[in-house]
Amino acid sequence: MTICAPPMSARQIVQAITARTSTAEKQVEAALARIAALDGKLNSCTRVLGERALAKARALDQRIAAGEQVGPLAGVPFGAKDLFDIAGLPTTGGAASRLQASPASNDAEAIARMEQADAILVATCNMDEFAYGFATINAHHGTTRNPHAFDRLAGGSSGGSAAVVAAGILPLSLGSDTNGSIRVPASLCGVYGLKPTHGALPIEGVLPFVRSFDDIGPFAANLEDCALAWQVLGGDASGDFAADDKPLRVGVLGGFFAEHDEADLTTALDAIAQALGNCPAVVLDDVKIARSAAYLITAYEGGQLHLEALRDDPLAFDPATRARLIAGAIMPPEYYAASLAIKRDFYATTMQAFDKFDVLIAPATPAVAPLIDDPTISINGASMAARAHLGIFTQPLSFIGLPSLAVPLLRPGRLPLGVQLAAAPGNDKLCFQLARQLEDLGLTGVSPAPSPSSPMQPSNAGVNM
Amino acid sequence: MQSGPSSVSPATAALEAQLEQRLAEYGFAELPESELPAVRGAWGAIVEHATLLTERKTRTGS
Repeated sequence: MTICAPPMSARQIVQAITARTSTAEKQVEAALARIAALDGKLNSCTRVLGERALAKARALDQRIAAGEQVGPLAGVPFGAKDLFDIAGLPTTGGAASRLQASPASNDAEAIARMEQADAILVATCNMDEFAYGFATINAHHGTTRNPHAFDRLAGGSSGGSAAVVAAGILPLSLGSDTNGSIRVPASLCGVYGLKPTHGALPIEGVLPFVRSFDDIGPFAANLEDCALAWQVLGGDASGDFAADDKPLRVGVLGGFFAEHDEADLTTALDAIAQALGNCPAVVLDDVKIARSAAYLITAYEGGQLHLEALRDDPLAFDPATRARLIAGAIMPPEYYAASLAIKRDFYATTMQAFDKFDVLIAPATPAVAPLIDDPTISINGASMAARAHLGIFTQPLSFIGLPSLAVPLLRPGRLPLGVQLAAAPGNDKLCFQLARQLEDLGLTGVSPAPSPSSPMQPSNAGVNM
Repeated sequence: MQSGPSSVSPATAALEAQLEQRLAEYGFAELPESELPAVRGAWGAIVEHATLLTERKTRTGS
């Protein structure tokens, strides 16, 4: 095979390895070759774990040769955001100040579950420092570029994890989502990304940011792989993720969620509503205030978490994060308490909507990927900083712990845009069911990034590729 | 981000005025001058969001 051949899907890899038409070692070697060939420009990986990955692959091949049964992700190479513990390495959170931190003694539980299913970790992925941002602009590691247009942001904070999948370097990756850090880069890079029900997937061994909202989840280039990784991470990979054929009651979130300047989003959501049988618009009260409360809880908890280190050496922090962490650390606690009260109220309001609807649909981001040289987006005619505002539609949903699946709109040849499918806590499966319906209707799905073997051209500002 | 609109409520003005005092209180009195504009911008965003919460409390009484 040529080193830049697009990777197979996770399911295809498992099939090839178990049928012995390929080996885990070959799959890992191919993934490492793709990283070497493609990631120089993309900047999605921060550490390549070649030795560890090849050792695991060879051990797996020996088990297969011995006729042993293997896991549901046998031989699938994957990446993980640079905040998951990896035994023997410092957990950096994308921070230069943590490069010399004590090495982790064990793998994070999520990594362990993936590898118990015989997936193979090959790289760590770039991120905004300490997961504070929607851009993946990192002073130490550099900016991760969008595989669909190298002059544009990949989104963040799990931008490396999204880009490595969108570029076809790896079939799966893991990220974390506190306010939208999986769903925002999934939308901008045009892949699937799941923010699960809060607390449903294992967070042990993941560097915290805001414990009230922190979750981990998978990115994948197709729905089936995303669902399989979700099942593996949740500890049960048996059964069809979307087997229930019961018709879903679907609403499209309006009001605050319709306040954007991206005409394509409006058209796409109208088409989805129509295709699903004229599903109604749903307007929740106080979404803007809920988003403010999410912002304040994030600032306060994030600031408190890093307060001691900020006092000791503030300049050791990334310039892009330290001012916001300091401002959060000195925030009056009464605003934190008020924000928690709003969280309770907004949860109750939203749960009433789920009495009538199984899944609510909203845009995942208010715009396509912004230019790296001009990281701003337009909302209601106003120019706003992308780093702070790309998550305006994701924050209010994760704020109250809902599962939310970012699904790419099918738009080949154009910059990616995604919608999020949100359900009541514990109903993650319904998000996958609706995603399958939307794919079957031809409305959503991955539009591949330009071929890695042909040069990627810079995009013009405001013009789709 | 700017620290807020020119016409601000007394509560917002009070919060804005608290910045230097709070920085000193929390051990950031020695922060380099060059860092202050960015911190002021980040504090302005917090004030803006906190003001929304205050307005809602006034509106709903809860």
